[in-house]
Amino acid sequence: MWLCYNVIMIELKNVNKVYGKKQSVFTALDDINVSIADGASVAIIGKSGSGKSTLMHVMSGLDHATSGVVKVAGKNLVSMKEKAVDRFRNKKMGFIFQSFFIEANQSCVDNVSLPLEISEVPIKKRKALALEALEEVELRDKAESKARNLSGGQKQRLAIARAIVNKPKLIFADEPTGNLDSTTGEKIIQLLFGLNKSLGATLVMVTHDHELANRCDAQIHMHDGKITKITGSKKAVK
Amino acid sequence: MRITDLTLRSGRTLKSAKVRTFLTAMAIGVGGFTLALTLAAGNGVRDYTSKLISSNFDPAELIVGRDPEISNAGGPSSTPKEFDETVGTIEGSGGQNNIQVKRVTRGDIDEIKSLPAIEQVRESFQINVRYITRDGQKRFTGGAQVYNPAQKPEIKEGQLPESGDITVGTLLLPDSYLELLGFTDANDAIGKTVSVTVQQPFSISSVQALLQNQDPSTITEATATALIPKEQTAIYTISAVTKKSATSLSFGVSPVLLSSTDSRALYEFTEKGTTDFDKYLYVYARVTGGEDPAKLQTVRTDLENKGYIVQSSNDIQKTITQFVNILQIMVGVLGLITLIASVFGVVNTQYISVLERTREIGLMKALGMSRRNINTLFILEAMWIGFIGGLIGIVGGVLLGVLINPWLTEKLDLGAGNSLLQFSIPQMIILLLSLMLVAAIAGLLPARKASKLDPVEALRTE
Repeated sequence: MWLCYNVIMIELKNVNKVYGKKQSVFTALDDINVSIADGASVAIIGKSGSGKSTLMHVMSGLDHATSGVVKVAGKNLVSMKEKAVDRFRNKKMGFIFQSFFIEANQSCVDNVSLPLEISEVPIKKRKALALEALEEVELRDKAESKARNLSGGQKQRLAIARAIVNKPKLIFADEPTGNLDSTTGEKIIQLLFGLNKSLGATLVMVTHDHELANRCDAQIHMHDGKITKITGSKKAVK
Repeated sequence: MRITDLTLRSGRTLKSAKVRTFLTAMAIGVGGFTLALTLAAGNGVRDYTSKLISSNFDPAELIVGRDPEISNAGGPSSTPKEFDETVGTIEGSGGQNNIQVKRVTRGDIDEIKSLPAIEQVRESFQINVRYITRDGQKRFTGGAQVYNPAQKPEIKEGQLPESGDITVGTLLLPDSYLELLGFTDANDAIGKTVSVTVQQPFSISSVQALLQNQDPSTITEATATALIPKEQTAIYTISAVTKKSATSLSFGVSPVLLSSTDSRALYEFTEKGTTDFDKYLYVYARVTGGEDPAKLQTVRTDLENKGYIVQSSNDIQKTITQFVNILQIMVGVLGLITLIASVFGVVNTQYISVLERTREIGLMKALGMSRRNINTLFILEAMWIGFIGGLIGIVGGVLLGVLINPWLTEKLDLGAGNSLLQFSIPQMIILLLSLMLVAAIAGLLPARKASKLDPVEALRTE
């Protein structure tokens, strides 16, 4: 296995995330310090309510840290304006969710084109890139069919095509196999790891499946909003 | 995100909820339908009015009187006026008081004529026709008026002179007399003669004079017979047969039209010797180049400064137009109320749609769409609803208009070629755009709600 871990992709320093005010305060993230190397595959693991999803949201700029520094590809998301963060996320990140979140009434091409539409890629180039991404997940022949007619595994592959269409540096996957049977799930996992290597994109996966987590380069263990331990390659995560 | 992509995307979303979109759009459609018909009816009535005015009044002519009473739309004034010996009295009918109306005298007419801008002055002869008939036929009631070269009547048969008055000794016969006077058709009547009989009014003052100056016992049958009003019959050749125009304002039987000379002769016979002879309630003064409203206004002001009471066809049109506008506003308000109701329909549907689509919104946010774009996306969706609804309403209105116009024309007796509902393309386009704007305003609140959604909250799976 050849990996280049020289550059830090994500760096969190003293990150706190607090919900609510005064009496009903809930600390979702409690003084998080962690660095993830470029090109690594990392699992965030923990029980539900441990803060693993919040950690992912803060890393992706979907959620604002209450305090601390969140640096992604050298940029501090906390100090950026919301619009800039949106644009940054659109260009540099891809998302995969447990329940796919695809638009069932639209064709596969239209689904995959959405991030390109947002970044104002011209319509012709958009279609070519979308077909390329569908090719990557072996859904080229379904390009014009409605997303609702796809099977569960195909839907998640469609979501992956959408996540990689903008050639992201970072892919966030939130329980990507949660809604799939083990055989289909395995295929999705292999596809994700394959893309992690072929695209050189950093893969951050939120899961409670220890077996899946152990196949990543490193694991961040969460409990009650704190990182309890980091296992796996020290080069991937510090 | 580009506005075209946003527009297409919002349209696609609506397409995937066809029934809901259609039902919401229908609400706007009903408002649009009402407004389209209101606008069309307004156009139709205004058009009809201006036809009515132009076929009954010469736009270059001023109606000039001496007494403010003649232009009083609400009838005679309620304040008693000082009695004036020199002014004639109009008998009130149906229990109304007699009123004194100052008339236009020969001197006034000469003064008006002396104005350089006045081309011609027509007196409004009051000709009291007793009956109209021809050899071997029954006698029929009717009226006679002066032929006005500037206001040519519609002709069924025969010829009118290119310009100027009709030949002395001829008349224009309304087609309603054809059958009554035993003509087979209009063509048959041309060149034949009819007679018009007029009668002098019964003069109470001559009876008084007779009784005052003579001993009643000396009055003979001959002196008494002399008091019976005299009749005179004139015979005219029919030069043309007229038909009543659909836009004619005259009520009842159309009058026969005579040359100015013949009219004057009949008028002089019946009115000579009365107090009001050669005095007119109003005269028609034709202004050279008076088709130009500015020119007409100058002459009008000039006459008004000399103490005349002046009206023009414009005044009449204004009065009618104002009435039409008020009616149109009243119906239009009903349309607007429907529209306001539909606004709440759009707000409601869009609001529910936002709540239903929180995940989609969260996803778009995750993929990097800005809040502003999300806001625009939902406003565009509302505008699409407005567009579809507007189209349904306007197309429905136009279709209905095309279908019922012939029926309305017949029922309202508007005359062929006139239609009540007249749709104008620019008006309909403006209406459609306004409906889209209204829908967009209705979409503001739900769109704001959508753009304010917390993506993390929206994406939560549990």
